[in-house]
Amino acid sequence: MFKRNENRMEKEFTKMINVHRGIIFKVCNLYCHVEEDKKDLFQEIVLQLWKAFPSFRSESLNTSWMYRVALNTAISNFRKESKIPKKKVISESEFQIPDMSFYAEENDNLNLLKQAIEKLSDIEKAIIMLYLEEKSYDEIAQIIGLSLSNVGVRLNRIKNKLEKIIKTSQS
Amino acid sequence: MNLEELKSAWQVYDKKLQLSQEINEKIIISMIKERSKSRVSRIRRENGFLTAVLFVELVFLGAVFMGNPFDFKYTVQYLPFMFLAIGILMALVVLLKNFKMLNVNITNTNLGSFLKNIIDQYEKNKQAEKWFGMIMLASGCLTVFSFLPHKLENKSLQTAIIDTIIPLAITLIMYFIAFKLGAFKNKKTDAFKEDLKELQELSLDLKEN
Repeated sequence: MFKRNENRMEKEFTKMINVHRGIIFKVCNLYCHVEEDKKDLFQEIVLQLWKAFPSFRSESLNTSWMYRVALNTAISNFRKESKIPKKKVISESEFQIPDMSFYAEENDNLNLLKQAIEKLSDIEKAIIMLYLEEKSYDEIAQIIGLSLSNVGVRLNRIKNKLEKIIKTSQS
Repeated sequence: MNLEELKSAWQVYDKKLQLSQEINEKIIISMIKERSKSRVSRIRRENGFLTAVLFVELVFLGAVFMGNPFDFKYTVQYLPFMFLAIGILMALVVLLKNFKMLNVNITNTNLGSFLKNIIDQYEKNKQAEKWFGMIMLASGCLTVFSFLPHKLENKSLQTAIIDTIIPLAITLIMYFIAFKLGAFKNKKTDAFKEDLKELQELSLDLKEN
């Protein structure tokens, strides 16, 4: 009985990860540059999501907690340790994280955006990603832990910064 | 390129990601089953190993205090070993705090409060690390003097002093080289300093609210 429940939960979880895999891919691409690091971060995010899954199961359609877990994992303790040599990355051959640069080559705007985002700081990356994902100010505030007015102010600063970076690289 | 164009470029990226190959169920299951391979688990294991080593050192120091293997005559001769014991206890406290930090529930808290908690912990640890370095230096230098009474019993004053100054100089040189080579520098610090700078701004924002 317990085993069956666990299997069902694993299936639900796998389905959820696949439905929202784009979120995790984007976070991995934003915060890691080396393929191994990306896969390692992917695994860590999946682990953290799995831990939280029972309590968020009912609201699996709400992606805010996924962003929260993924960003917390990427920005906090994960990145601090990123120089540790890795022995083996899970299922290296079977598992690929589609890189933004694959698509950036065929799209000039995407290429510019990618280059500009890379110049932002970690927190700025998180905020602009949520903005580009069309999250409301309220959702951004909840995920990042800032007040609504602060989100507005910071977002404006980041937008200006992005525009400047893009203009400089265009000229 | 204006912001609307930025958004549409991002949406192109998003759509392409949605079309990417689904992740095999087996891989996801193996990710959640093989927890011991995760990076955080690895750090926990390393911390666990370090804790064990420190405990062994503490036992060794206990044996020195109880059994007096160096035939110390005066209590003051134990002082460097007491410093060492204090240093080890401090390191154990830092490790315990790090362990707690890794155990913080990453899923139920927003980024701001999570990072604030981490910054607080790192700041406290930074103080402890500074003291740890100083205590270790004091312990290393004073240990040489613990053996001075023995030397004075068996050698002339001049020879005993020279015999003490040489190991003291060697100790100081070794500490200096180690310091210059960055042995006392927390290797995570550089990356962390950058974060800290930015996060301090965030903390200010958080305090303002």
